[in-house]
Amino acid sequence: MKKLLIYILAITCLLSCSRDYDYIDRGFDGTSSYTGAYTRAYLQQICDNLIIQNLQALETVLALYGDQLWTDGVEQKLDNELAISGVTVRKTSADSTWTLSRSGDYPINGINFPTSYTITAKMAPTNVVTPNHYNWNISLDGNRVEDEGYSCRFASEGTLDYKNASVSYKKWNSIIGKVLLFVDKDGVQIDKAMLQFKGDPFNPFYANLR
Amino acid sequence: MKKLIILFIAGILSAFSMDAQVIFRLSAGGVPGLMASTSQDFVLDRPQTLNGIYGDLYVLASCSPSYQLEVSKTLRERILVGVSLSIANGTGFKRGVNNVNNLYKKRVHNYSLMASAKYYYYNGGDFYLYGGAALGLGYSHAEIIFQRTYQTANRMLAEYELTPVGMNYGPGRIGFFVEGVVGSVVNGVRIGVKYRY
Repeated sequence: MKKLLIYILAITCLLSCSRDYDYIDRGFDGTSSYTGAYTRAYLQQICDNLIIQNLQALETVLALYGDQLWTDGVEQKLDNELAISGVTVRKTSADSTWTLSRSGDYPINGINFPTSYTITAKMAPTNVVTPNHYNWNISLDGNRVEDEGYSCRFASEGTLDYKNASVSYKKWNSIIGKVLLFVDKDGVQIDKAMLQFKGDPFNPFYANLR
Repeated sequence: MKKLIILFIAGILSAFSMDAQVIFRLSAGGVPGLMASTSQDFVLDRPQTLNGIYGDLYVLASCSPSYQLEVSKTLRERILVGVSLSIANGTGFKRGVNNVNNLYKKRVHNYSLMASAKYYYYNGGDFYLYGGAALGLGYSHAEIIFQRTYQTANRMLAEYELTPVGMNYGPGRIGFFVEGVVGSVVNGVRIGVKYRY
């Protein structure tokens, strides 16, 4: 019994004496992989929220407001629960291109900050399998102003090809293209990152371009 | 920290001085799966904002389970009282505002000393079910490391734990236990071994 007590006390002392100042800087190479992971998650959240939600909204309102929104130059502000509140949808040219724009508080990761964005979606030639679902060529440009002097700009590099013509929205299974993120602190750029979607269900490729 | 250990040893000695059954429990507790402590000084949340990602927030990089040694005695039939010492370590990083990689590193050591009470509401011979609560003090020792210099920040914390359900199995002097814990030191499960003296 005494041995057991000694063992227990010895283990307790070992655990409490884990302060080892000699290790400082050792095993700590200054890389920022953990922050990269968070930046990646943040960027993917922007894409999830903005691109997917807005495309869903666009297809929904095209089905509902069909006659009005298929006319060039007609603008429609959406304030119903079927779409994202406050989005302005406008048919901009004869080749089936719409712009969706919105300015105001927008939740990303569940937190609201002033966010402005414009999504241009051009309906791509497709064999429509399911009514009201289309393929799209998308471009995205927007910015978001957060607290403590942080802000960011996000934009697609070229166009994002969205192959959606099925019943369900498959998110990143359906997208090919790149989205860029530029992060500013007090007006000075502090980070630049890129997320590349490859049209498969696996994690998109992330690169820090700083 | 030394005071906490002295108090803890005094608790053990006082338990031995009484004519009652003494029970030792050695355990590790934390979030299921990670088995990481959820001490108040560790940030477990993923940063949700740019300030969280790039700003002054320390982000938890690694965290040990909360190791605990508890000594208790039977006060009455079905009721145990005891004293426990818990230890957990964590490491966090902070990024410089100009994004110059991880400039700051923070190591946190958390010690807590709690008085505990348990009530055995089911006695099935070798198998017991119990619930309990603990209340005490914690001591947090943080080292903020910047390049080759460091500074320390110490503070005292109020610590508490509630154990709605615990299961204990052991036919002899040695037993094993698993318990669900909600509190300031551990939010999750605690598993360990018990020795009845």
